[in-house]
Formats: sequence, C-alpha cells, structure tokens
Amino acid sequence: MSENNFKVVNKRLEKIDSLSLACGKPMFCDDIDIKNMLYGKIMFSPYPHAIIKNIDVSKALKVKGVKAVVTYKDVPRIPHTTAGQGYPEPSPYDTYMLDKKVRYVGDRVCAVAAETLEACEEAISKIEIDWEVLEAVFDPFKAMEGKIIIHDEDDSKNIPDAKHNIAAKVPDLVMLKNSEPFSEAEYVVENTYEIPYLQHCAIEPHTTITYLDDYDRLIIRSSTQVPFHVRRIVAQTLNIPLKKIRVIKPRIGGGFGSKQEILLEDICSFLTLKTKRPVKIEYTRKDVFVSSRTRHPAVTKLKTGVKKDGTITDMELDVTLNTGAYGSHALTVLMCSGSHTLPMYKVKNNLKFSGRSVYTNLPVAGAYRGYGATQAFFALESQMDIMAEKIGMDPVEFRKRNYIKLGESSPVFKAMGEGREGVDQSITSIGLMEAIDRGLKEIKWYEKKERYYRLNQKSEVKYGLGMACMMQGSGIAEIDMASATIKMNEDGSFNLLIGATDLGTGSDTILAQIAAETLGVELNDIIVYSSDTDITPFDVGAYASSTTFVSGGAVKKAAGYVRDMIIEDASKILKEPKENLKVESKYVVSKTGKKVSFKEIANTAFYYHDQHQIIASASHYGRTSPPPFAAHFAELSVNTRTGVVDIINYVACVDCGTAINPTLAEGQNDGAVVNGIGHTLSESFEISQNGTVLNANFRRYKILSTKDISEIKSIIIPTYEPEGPYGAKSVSEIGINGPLPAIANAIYDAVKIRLFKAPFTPDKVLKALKESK
Amino acid sequence: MNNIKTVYIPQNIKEFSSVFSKKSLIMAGSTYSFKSFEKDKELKEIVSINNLPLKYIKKESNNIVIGALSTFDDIENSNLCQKHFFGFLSHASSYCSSQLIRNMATLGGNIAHPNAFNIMPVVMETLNGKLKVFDGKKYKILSLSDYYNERNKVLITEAMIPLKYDKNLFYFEKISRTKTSWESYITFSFRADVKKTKINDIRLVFGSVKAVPLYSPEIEKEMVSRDIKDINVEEISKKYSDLIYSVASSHKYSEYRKEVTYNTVKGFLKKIFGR
Amino acid sequence: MKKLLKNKEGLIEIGFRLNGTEIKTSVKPNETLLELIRRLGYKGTKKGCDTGDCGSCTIIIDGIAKVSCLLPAFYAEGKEIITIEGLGDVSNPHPIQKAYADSGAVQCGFCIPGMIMTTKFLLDRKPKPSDSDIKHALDGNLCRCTGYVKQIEAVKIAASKINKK
Repeated sequence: MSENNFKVVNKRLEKIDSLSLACGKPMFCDDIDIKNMLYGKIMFSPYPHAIIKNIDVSKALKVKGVKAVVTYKDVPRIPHTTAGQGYPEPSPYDTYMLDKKVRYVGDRVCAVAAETLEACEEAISKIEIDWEVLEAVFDPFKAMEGKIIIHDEDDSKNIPDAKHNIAAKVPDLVMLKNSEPFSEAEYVVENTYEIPYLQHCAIEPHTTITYLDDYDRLIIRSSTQVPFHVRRIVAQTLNIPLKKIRVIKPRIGGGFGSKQEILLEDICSFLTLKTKRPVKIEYTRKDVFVSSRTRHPAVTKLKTGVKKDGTITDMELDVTLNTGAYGSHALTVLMCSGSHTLPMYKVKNNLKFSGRSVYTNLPVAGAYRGYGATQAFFALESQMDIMAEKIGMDPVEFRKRNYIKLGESSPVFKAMGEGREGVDQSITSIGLMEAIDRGLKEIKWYEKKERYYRLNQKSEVKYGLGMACMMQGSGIAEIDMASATIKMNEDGSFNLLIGATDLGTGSDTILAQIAAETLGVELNDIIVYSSDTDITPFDVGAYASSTTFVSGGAVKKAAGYVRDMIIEDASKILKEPKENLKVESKYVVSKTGKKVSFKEIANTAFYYHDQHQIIASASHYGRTSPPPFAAHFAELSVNTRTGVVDIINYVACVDCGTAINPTLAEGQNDGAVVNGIGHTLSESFEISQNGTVLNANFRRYKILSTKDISEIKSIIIPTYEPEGPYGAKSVSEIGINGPLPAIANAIYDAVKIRLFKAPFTPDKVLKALKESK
Repeated sequence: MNNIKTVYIPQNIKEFSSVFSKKSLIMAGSTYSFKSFEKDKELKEIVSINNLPLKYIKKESNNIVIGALSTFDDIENSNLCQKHFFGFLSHASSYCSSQLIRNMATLGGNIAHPNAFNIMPVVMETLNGKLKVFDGKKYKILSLSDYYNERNKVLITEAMIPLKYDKNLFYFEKISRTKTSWESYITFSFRADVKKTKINDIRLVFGSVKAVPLYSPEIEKEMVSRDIKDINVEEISKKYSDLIYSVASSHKYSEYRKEVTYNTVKGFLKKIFGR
Repeated sequence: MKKLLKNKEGLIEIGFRLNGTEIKTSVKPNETLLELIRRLGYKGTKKGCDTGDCGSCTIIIDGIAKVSCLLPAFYAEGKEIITIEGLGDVSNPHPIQKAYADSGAVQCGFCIPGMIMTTKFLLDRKPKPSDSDIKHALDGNLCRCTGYVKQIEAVKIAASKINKK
C-alpha cells in the first residue's frame, strides 16, 4: 500500500529525547530544585478497616519544621473518583481526599508538610489516634455476602450495590442467543482461571510538586499520564475554579496505567494552598506497591462449547474482579475483559458475558496495561488449546478457522464498550494469519514439536511450545478525544503543541513523525511541546492505547490544515493554481517546475504581505476502535526435578497497522511481553492475614532482570488501517496479553499439566506434576 | 544514625584494635549495615574497615585464603577460585543477587550477618572452611559454628578453605523464582569424594531452610561407612527430604522443599555413584 | 588514624573527586550518597527504590559500579566518583550513550543512566563481552519498559564502536 512512499512515517528514527535521557539530563519531575520547598508526607493506615474516633495532631504541629498537618476535618469532603477518565467518569465516586474511615492497610489517614522529610516522619509518629477497629474482608466472594460493608457512607455516588460491596457489575449480558445454550455442543469445557495482585513497577515512583505562581495560580508538576483529568479532578476535590490550575507533565519514568490516576495531586495541592509554599510529595517504593494502584486480581470462569468440526458453539465468560478498597476503573476494566477478548473468535449460537468488581479491604486496583483483557485472555487462549485437544484438532488450525476475519463484525462491539455500550464496527484491518504463519516459521514450531516429543521421553527436563492469539483496542470509540495545534516559524520549522502524554512510549516522536510526513519536512523540523494544560490543547491522556490512533488523527488533521494554508500562500507567491502544488522537502513545488521554499513562504506571511501566522488546530476522536492483533509463541523447558520453568524463546508477531516508528513499536512489544512473562513466572503480592502487603519492595516482589530473559523477538506485521493516521493502529498494550496463556499452553505441551493459577512458580509446577502421577 | 560523632577509618589492624569496642558499628560493603541502622539514634561511632588490607585471594600452605573484604565479584572472577574445586567457589558467588551487590557485598559481611539466604556460610560449611578472626588483641581460628556461637565481638579477617577437597565433586544450585532473587526456596551445596567402591568423604549442605546452613553428620556417616553398592539411594534421599521437612514443617514451601530435596539428592547420588 | 568528625553544625566534612572535579562539602551522617549526588545538582542518578534492588542509582566509585542508595554520603571521602554526566553530554556523547540512544534502548529513560554506568564498568574490564557476560553484568539494573532486548543490543554496538577506536 502507500507505506512504500512514506518519507518519515514507518521509519526507524531516533526518539527525540533518547540522547538527552542517555546523558542524564534533568528531565523528570524530581529533577528540579525549587526554593522554599516543603516536603509532604502522607500517613498511611495500619488497619485494613477502621474508623478514626479521635485524632490529635497537636504534638505533631509542635515538631520543629512542621508547617501543616491536615486531617479529614481540614479538607473539603467531596466524593470523587481518582480514576483518570473522561467526564463523567464511569467509576464510582467513592473516594475522599481524607476520610474519617480507612478501608485498607495503606489508605490515607492524614498528611504533613514540613521543611525536611525527617520532620515529616517525626510529626507522623507523634499523631495520636483513637481507632475503632472494624472487621475486615479480603476475599471478594466473601465480601459479596455483605456481612461487612466497606462503603457504608451515604454521600458516595454510583455504587451499584454498596450493601454487597459491588463497585461495578454487568449482569448477564446476552449478546447472541440462537439456541438453547450448549445444546449443539459436542464437548463442553468449563474452567476457572485466577490471577493475583500485580503491580506495574514503573521504575520512577509517583512524584508530585505543587506551587503557586506569581499570579497565585496553582501549578501542578506531576508524573502523570492524564494532565487534563488531573486539572479537572483537583478543581473538583479542592473546590477551586479550574482556571486557577495549570498542570505540567515533565518526562515520566514509566506508568503502565499506575499514573492514570489522581493519586497525589489533590493532597499536595491542598498543602500548597494551605502553606502558600511549594510542596513535594514523593512516594517511596513501598508506598508505590501498597498505596498507588495495582492490577485487578481476577477469578475468571469460562464455559465454552465446541463441535468436532471445530465450530465454537457457545461461550460464557464470567469475571469477578477484586477492586480493593475503592472502585477506580472498576467498571471499565470489567467491561474490557469482555469487550477486548470476546470478539476474537466467531461463536455460532450463544455468547454471554457477566461480571462484577467487588470491594475488599485491600490495596486499590486500577488501570494496568491490558486492562482486563490480560485476565480474560489467560482464560480464553488456554481454553482454545483445551478445546482443540478435545476435538483432536491442531490448536493452530483451530484458531485459524475461528478468528474474526477482515470485514466481519461481532455483536460484542455494539454491546460492550468501556463503561457503557460500545460502538458497532467491523474489522477493517487484520494481519493475524500472517502473524501466525510468521511466528510458526520463526520459532520452528512443527520441527521442534516433533523433536521435543522424542526428546521428552527420556529427559528430566521437558520441552514444550505453546501459542496464543490476542487483540486489544485503539482508543475508546466515540469517547476519547485528542487535539493538536501546529504553528509555522519563519525558518520553515514548526511547533507542534499536543495534549498527548508521552510516558516514555515515544508519543512525542511518533506524533512529530506524522506531522512531518504531512507537511513534507523532516522529523527535526518539528519542535514538540506536550502535556501542559495552559498551552497545549486537550487530550484525554495516555491510556486505552489511544495516542497513536486518536492523537495521531488529530495531528494529521492539524498538519493537513497547515499544509493547506502553506499551499494557499504559495499559490499566491508562485501565481499558480493550488491544484498544481504539493509540499515536498520543505518546498512547495508545482507541476510546472516552479517552487518556493517554506522559509520564503513563512517570511512573506510574517513580514511582507497580508501578514498572518500560519497556524491551525484540529481535534479528533475515533468513530471506531480498530483492534491490533497479535500471535505469540513460547518455547520453554520444565525441569521435572525442581518445577522451574525456563523460557527459551518467545516470538511475538503483532499487527498494529502501519508502525509509525518500527523501532519504538518493537520496543513497546518487547517490554509488554517481558512484563507479561514476569506476571506468569514470578510476580504476585503476598498478603498477610490482616491485609498487609508483605513483599512491597523490589527485593521480594521480583520483576524480571536481564538474566531471566533468553530470546525475545518482536516482529511487526504490516497492514494498513484505513481509520488510522497513515494506516496506524495501537501497539502499547496488546503484548502483555500473550505470555500467560502461551506459557500455560507450552507447559501443557511439555508435561501435560494444566495450570489455572498464576504465577507458575516452581512450587506450583512441582505440586501439579506430583498430583498428575 | 543522625547522632554519630565520629567515623573511624583505620588503615591497619593496629589502628583498628585501638577503636574496636562494643559500641561501634562496623561497616564494610554497605549492603547491610548502613540501611539497617539508618534510624538508630543511639549509635555514636562507626568504624569503616574498607581500608584494612583484607582484600586478597591467595594460596597459602594447603589453603585457599580469602580476605574478608573480598567481594562476591572478586571471588567469582578470581583465577584461583575458578581453577580450584572445579570452580565451585566462583560458581556459587555468581548466584549472589546482582552485579552491583556482588561488587559491594563482602565475604566477611555475608558471614557476619547470618541470614537463611546467604551464600557464603553455605559455601564455607561445604568446604569445611575456617575463619581467622581478630578479637581486638589477638587472632583465633574458628569453625563456622564456633563463630556463630562466639559470644564476644570479633572481626572476621579471612576465610581459609582447605585444598584437600580440590579434586572432589561439587554441586551448587539455588532455586528461586527468578535468576536474581535474593530469597530462595532452597539452596543445595554438595561435595563428594568418591573412589571406586567407597565414599571417602561427603558433605551435603542445605541453605535457605534455617538461619544457618543445615547438614547432617549422621546421614553422611551412614554413607561413608558402607560400600557404594550397599547404599540405597532412595532411602538416603528420603532421610534428607524428611529432615528438610521437619526443620520447618509449617513453612509455606515445606512440601516443595521436601519433594525437591528428594529429587535432587537422589539425582546427585545416582550421578556420583555412576548409576 | 583517619577520622571523620562532626563539625559544629552536626555535619561531617568530606572531600572527593566527582566527574573530575574536586568537591569539598559537608554531609549529614545518615545521608545517602545518592541524596548527596542529587543535592549537588547531578540529577541524572535516580532514586527508584532506595533499597539497592533496581540499579537506577548506579555510579562508578574507584572504577567499580555500585548502588549509591545503599552507601552513606561520607563513604565518598577520598574516592573518585563518576556519574552519567561525567561520561558525556548531548553535544559530545560517550559511545555508550550514543549506542543506547541510537538503538531504541531508551524508552522512559529512568533506568538508563544506571544501565549506562554499569555498561561502562563492564566494557572497561571486558571489552568484548558475550551475551551472557552482558546479561550477568546488567542483572542488577531493572527496566520495565524495554524488556532489555534493545539494551543488550546497544551494549554490543557500544562494545564494537569502542573497540574500533
């Protein structure tokens, strides 16, 4: 397609901030020194469920250097959600800046601002509290019984069933009913799959600095994925006018969803308003584990029906999510577990989704790369292999036969969006067949299967291969909006102002590539400035895999308008009709051979004639959310003496439409895959009897290191998505959905044991091996 | 640690003995002591021993002698440690957490602060290593268990590893969730001296189960006193797995440890007996 | 015998070399070397965990890569310390910095200074490292963005560029 003619898009250009970051430039939130700054520190709850009967901060206030100690009595009580989502947020308004009640070990109790961190810590140690300790509940199924109610306050809003601790629910959603359920199925498979508490582990902890500028406006400098949502929600929770707030996002050290949240900005701002001084709150690594956000632990029940000829007749997915003490993202993650997975395969007769997100007195779950799809694909893709074996069909053929093809649609698209009804769409680009075939070839699937079958007969270490197919979305259709402004400078360079949030993903770079392609210039002719609520136009922020598809769409539009203005001016300068003209390499060239440079056009516009600034803004939102698709292949060994699983080879082939920058797309995929492998083999919270996270540090919650990965290969399968800028779809989330099922399938291939509970640690594997004998 | 008045940096043992008192905190590699005492308000003095001449690895009489300030990285990359004991010392050192910790953590520190997951105590027991310690006035030679029972404060100056085990067979494995985990389910550290039909000497040490390395002289004696063909490998393996289980039967991973101990001891014995 | 004493303000005075410059400063007894380095304005060295497990605070002290969050600030006394800023700058980057930037090995960039310092330590003593040498040396530098794939490539490219010189 047209990708062969791209000059900037689809090129492996260096990310514009790479070299500066490699030279250690001070670009992150905490890398500035502000005069007169105070340190802020939050006191966290030692109890999983308790009421503050009395809180006495008088001794704390007397500590040298302490400038403020605030409790629930000092702050406005405004129910809100911390979820960084578009307004009106589809999450319950069940959170308060500070409350009289605490609902998990790690919940906010009160906050201190002081000259030094030591003074903060000393002040916190001197706060005296009379607690009424309440009984706590940690298991979602128990919580649903309603004996202990976590949100019994009467001012919270949008909680579907607080009496039974239900933060969100989707009652039986029947999307297809052509027969009596399972009546035509020749085999019925029903299993339950579980994943535990998992944390994003972005290497930069959450950090926020707030201060008042010379106009007494509140400036928030924060490591956030959602600057515009921060502005709105801080205005809401502090009850101050939105126009008094400016949010600036510096470079962020990773987010993966944990920073799609208004976590520190409200309380930090409050301390600044109270003390009239700059305040910095920086989470420790332990705070990040316990008191930021996590993935939703899930119990996923999948019941499917299949016929010998390979037809999937019925599919019933039921998801129970543990949302922790507050319902941030409770509904949307729940819905995505269905909306981003169920369209994957054609189901003949019956398709049903049901689910609920349940409150417990545990750390709060929120947005995490994959967003529900990760949990559900573990179930779906494991079950595809189970069904294939039941009917005696090659699991590769079984998937190829059944996945949704180009031009086809699914009733899921209309029925399930993210938080509300979705948008009907059909598949407008898909490279899954090529992804599967390429992956099979790359990992030498059939050749190795044969070799391992023989080898495994006599070896203590057994080898296996497994695969998984997956999809995600590209932004939230009809909801996510982005905008961009582009202005021309007299040397032919351009300023690109975008609300879009680069969290290390490289969105600044790829959006500049899109602008450069449209304008006929080079990447380094585009000067990018992003994520400043005063200066850049609106963007929902970095989530839902929306930046390339939605923000890219806005940038392409704005660049198109600017290009039109340039051509308009050139037409007057060259005295040629516009139809003859096009942009090329910083010139406007005519069919007739005449040309004029951008420099001359801009100077003419600024200084000489009919003076004006060449500038344009545009907005964009997706009418659809075209899914990226991927096929993953895992080759591993299982040591039957120790239960240790070692990944030998992992191939991830992804169709993301046009990869605006193939190096960055591969990088996103690599990172998502390794993160997913970490989920599969190592990561999980360890929680005590009283709801305390016991392994809240990198020493005990182990993410993978260089020694844990052997061969990881990401392969981009090019397709062209007509709805996306230059054919692009999204890529940043999908990769994390593959490892759990691909590895579960490979383990089954190696040792014929089926694991249903992540992570697949040596003790679990060895136990399953022993029980199977 | 805010109330510290003095940091002493002795350049030799004589200077060290002049400041060696019960109240001071000894700091070497800094992977443990600084963070552990960060909030301590009572501490008045620190003795940093990093400048003492204790960073060496050499051959002396019939021992490999390793100075207490040698780091895991020093040991891993030392020619002597790679050459002798079939590289066992070097191999075991490479299991320590991460390169940055290997660059900092010292042999002395790893032994002085006993923790189930520490590698050096396990290695020492496997090789019957001895510790040379300084008590402020004079030197003493202690076995590892004597050191752990020692009531008085002493400074470890070096480890002495007898070369008589040089041609033994060795096995070291630390089983954990990831390759850089500090924690582990269990650590196996085995040594065997097998000649034709008899075992001259055998030492099977298990780490990560107790605060100090675990081994059983009784079971070892059983193996040494018999002809190889009379040793029932399954029986010995079961004895070890029962032992490991009994040490911490209520532990989360006690069943796993039992199973994997049985499998591993059995595999090791079968291999060294040529079965 | 060498001693470091608290002065009237309760601080310990130390002297050391940082990126080739002589530094004389006073530190709190319980201040970490990481805090000191950042306080002196060298913001490239990062705090990711403060427990020595993530490696984003890696610096080179007397030729050896160490995690500065575990070291007391007074440990710097008499030492030669190099941080990321001492390797090179945007206008004149070190080959390792350039290799990381060129290879797509930098995503969010937070772990990168630490990775690069450890890479320098590795290449200084093993100019032609194998894949397993590289993985063994970098195993204490955690990254959540890249999956390490392009970073290992970057080290190999850096090694070949340095060997050419």
